[in-house]
Amino acid sequence: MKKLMLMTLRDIKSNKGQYIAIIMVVVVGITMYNAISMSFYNLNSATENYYEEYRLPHLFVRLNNAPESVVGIIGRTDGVSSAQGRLVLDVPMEIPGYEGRVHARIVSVPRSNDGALNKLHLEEGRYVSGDHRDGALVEKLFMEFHRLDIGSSIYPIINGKRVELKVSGKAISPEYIYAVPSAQDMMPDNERFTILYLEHSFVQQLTGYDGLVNEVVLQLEDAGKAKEVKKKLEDRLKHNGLISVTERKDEVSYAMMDTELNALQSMGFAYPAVFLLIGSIVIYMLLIRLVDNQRRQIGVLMALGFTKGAILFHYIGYALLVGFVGSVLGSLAGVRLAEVLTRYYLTFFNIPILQVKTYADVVVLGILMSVVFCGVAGFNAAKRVLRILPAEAMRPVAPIEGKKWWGERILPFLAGIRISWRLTFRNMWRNKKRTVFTVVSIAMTVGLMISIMTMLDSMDYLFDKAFGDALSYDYKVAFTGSVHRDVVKDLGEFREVTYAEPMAEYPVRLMNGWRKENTMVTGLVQGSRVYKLFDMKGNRVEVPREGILLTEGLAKSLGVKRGDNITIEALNKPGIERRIAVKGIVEQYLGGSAFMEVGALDAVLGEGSTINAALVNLRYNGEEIAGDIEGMPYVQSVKEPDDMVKQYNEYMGLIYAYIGVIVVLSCIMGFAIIYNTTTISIMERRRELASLRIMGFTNNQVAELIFNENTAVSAMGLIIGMPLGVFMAAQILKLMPEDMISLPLVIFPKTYVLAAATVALFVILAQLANMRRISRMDLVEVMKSRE
Amino acid sequence: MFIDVSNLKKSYTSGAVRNEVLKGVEMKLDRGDIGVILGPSGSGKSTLMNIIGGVDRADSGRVHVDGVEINDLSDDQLTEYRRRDVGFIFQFYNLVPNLTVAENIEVVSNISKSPLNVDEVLEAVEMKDKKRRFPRELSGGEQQRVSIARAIVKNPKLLLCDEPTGALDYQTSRSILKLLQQVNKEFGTTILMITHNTAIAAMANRVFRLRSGKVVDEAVNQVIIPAERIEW
Ligand SMILES: Nc1ncnc2c1ncn2[C@@H]1O[C@H](COP(=O)(O)OP(=O)(O)OP(=O)(O)O)[C@@H](O)[C@H]1O
Ligand SMILES: [Mg+2]
Repeated sequence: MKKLMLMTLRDIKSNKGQYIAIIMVVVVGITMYNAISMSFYNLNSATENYYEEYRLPHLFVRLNNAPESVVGIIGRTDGVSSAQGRLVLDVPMEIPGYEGRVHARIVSVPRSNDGALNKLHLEEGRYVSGDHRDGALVEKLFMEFHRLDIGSSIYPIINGKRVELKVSGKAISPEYIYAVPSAQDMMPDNERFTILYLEHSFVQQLTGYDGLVNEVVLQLEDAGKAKEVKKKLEDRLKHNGLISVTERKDEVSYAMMDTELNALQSMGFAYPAVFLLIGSIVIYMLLIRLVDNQRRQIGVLMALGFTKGAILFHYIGYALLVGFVGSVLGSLAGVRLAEVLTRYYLTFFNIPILQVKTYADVVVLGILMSVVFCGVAGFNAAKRVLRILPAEAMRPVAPIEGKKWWGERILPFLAGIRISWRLTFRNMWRNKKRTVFTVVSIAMTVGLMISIMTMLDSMDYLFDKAFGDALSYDYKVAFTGSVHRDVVKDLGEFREVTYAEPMAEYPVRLMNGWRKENTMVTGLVQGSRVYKLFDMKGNRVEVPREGILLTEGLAKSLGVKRGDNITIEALNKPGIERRIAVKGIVEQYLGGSAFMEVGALDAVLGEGSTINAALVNLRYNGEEIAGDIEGMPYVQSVKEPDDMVKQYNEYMGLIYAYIGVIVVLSCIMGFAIIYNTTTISIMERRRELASLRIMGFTNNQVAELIFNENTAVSAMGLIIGMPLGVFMAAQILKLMPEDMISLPLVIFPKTYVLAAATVALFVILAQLANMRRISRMDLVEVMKSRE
Repeated sequence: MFIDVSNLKKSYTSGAVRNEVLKGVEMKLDRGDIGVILGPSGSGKSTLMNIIGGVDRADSGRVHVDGVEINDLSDDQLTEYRRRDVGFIFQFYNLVPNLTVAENIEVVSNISKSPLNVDEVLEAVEMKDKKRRFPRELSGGEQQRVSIARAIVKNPKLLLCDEPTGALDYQTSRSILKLLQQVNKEFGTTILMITHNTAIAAMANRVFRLRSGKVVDEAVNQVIIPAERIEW
């Protein structure tokens, strides 16, 4: 057995490059698996612990201002373990040194933080009690964005009065891990939205809502009974001005985090699996070559009395060694990368608990997976040993059977191409299996690259579409609540405003049988000049006088098509349900995913002639005017459409990081595969190549023969990989959270070109890396032996 | 003097052991002559021939072929020399298995400056009717004919044959030797041939006996026997 080990090591030493290449593929797959899985576990347990320790409520009850006694009523309901009343109100806010207005959400908190629901985590400063009762705790990322310090003044406008508050602390709450005001805001905006945590009685005093609450949050004895308790509360509070009872899972921040974690989890398995699969194919090819090359040696070993089992195990040993070494290195790299990714993640989310752990089970599973994958590949390749009889193996290997391939027989012109190409095609045909494997591996690599780069294309397309054709307004003005349509006329009074049109956005629930989707419905005027909709063929469509238009993604998840009826319910007025007809399917871009005529929307939701936003165009670029508009009563915020892109890009930073990692790793793998194939074909054809060298072929002429084969195989891989990439991209897009944004499947020609260029580069690099094998080939040595 | 080898030395070192393979070989052959190298296994015959053919390099000494000092050529020049001036014939043919007979010859004629006509060469080796076959579909003797055709298609000055009949039976060997003699006459190609068969020496102008890296005996044949009359 020792002798066999020695053989293994000697062989590995003389084919270093090749083994390094395969090990790299395994390393890449396992690194990715560890990094993604562990950052998933890190985040998952960080969030779960956070929710647990800081007591995220199970239910959120929203009421029109109700006497504080309602807290007691709710608290005594069966199944409720604790309840806490609070006032929550959205107000405009000014901060020194910042032009625009901030949308601040005031959330009242109990006198003591200990034992409170939604317990705050103070990064800095003091809690709002005692001396600091009239202070404000401000959300962390906002403070960091605006460089606010403890003691800074902020000026919320409460009931039309500008109030000065001193910042007493920097805080985060489990309720706002993902700090957005509502589901319609897709991305956190740390510049213009924040949460102020003020002491409860202080808020009552500021607002004049003495003895009142408008929200009650509660925890349950049994979290599994949320539905039942919710039902009970809805019944009991019907007459107490109930607006809604929401479960924790339907709260924006919680839901967003959940989607994020799910996406991470599915990525954590899909990509590494592809890498490992390719790795095992490469090992399989390498071992087949090795066994064939060492046939004679195998025969000798058998004749010497080694059992087939021992010899079989010897060859499987190569695969196991590669699998083991690769996965150990991959685990080491993966653990490091997981830490980096986890930390990076936490810059996007407000989670105080950083949990960077090494999960032994993840590591072990990774190593196991890798060893099994490689071992299976190794066994499949090595089992050809069993077919070798000692006597037969001692005989020289049957000479290679020269043959025309069917292409040449069917297409006579192929017989007329240059001899070097004829030779290339015949070689590929002769090694059908290997050709197929290589083509498949390259196709998968290309597919991987294209699928991931498609995400970028789709986003670009979306923005181009949105800002090129669809959205041409300069600013969107959001009002603090529903206002009469005529308010838009006031906006028109500004000399610089050249155009203003009303718009409305309401959160609704759309239902079709058991299928439900919470979304925003956008109300537009017919013939809008600044917010255009297009059908799937790219033709402009108008919002209908009656009925609703849905984006394709939304229609699909509701299972409806044009002409079907759906039920619509306003989320802020539960109980009002209307049937409405789907009048068409439109393309999605940034913004809403359901559209109605603004009047029809009013009618359905019973809002009267009201709107809550306006779209305006200005004569010239007017930051100042925007500021003026922002100062108007009723106006909550003024936003440029570009802000969406900015926010989106910021959020996408995370996705870019993954895209980057995957692209880089795919590149390493692509190179490893091509390098490997090149090496194998040189080794197999040593004799042929050496005799051509002796005939007077130059190194380059000989290299060309190998180069041709690589080019052909890679080109085929590329051709198959491109549609494969499109298919994979479609699958990935399905994983993306639908209600957030549904990306269209768009691939720019440049992506194909880039993929092709990358593969071409690999071919050339692999060729250069192997040039030495050709130029250093010992001609005398090769010719001495008979095969 | 077409080939002029003098004081040629070559040694291999593996580890601490130094193995002197050629210890000052002297050899001369005129243009258009056939030379035969005889000698026991391991005496350095192939090594010597590889150096003359520009496949291997000597440590010291001179190798003049048609006035060119082979030992002074660069790697690229050696390739050029092999392509233009030398044809090789091996014991085990070394045809490209995935090319047909005609293609095996074309592939070499494609890289030569002034190649002979492929069909004429095939005619000369009597392989024209089998030119579409692959090496696998040929007998050893036929494969050796193809390899001769491949060697002479570029119209080389020098044909180097390392045991060309080593793997062939009596009759086939004689026909191959006859073919070589014919090439020598028709094209005026100088031939240097290694063999273990002393009988073959009868068809050569000059016979060199090599022993332990030295030419220990050199004979000039006054009468050249045609190959088909040689018996052993
Ligand atoms: N690469 C090498 N390294 C070390 N020694 C070598 C090498 N190649 C050849 N030799 C030695 O050189 C000597 C001559 O070899 P060569 O092949 O020239 O012999 P030969 O006369 O052609 O023998 P044969 O008739 O068996 O073909 C041998 O003793 C051999 O062991
Ligand atoms: Mg020899």
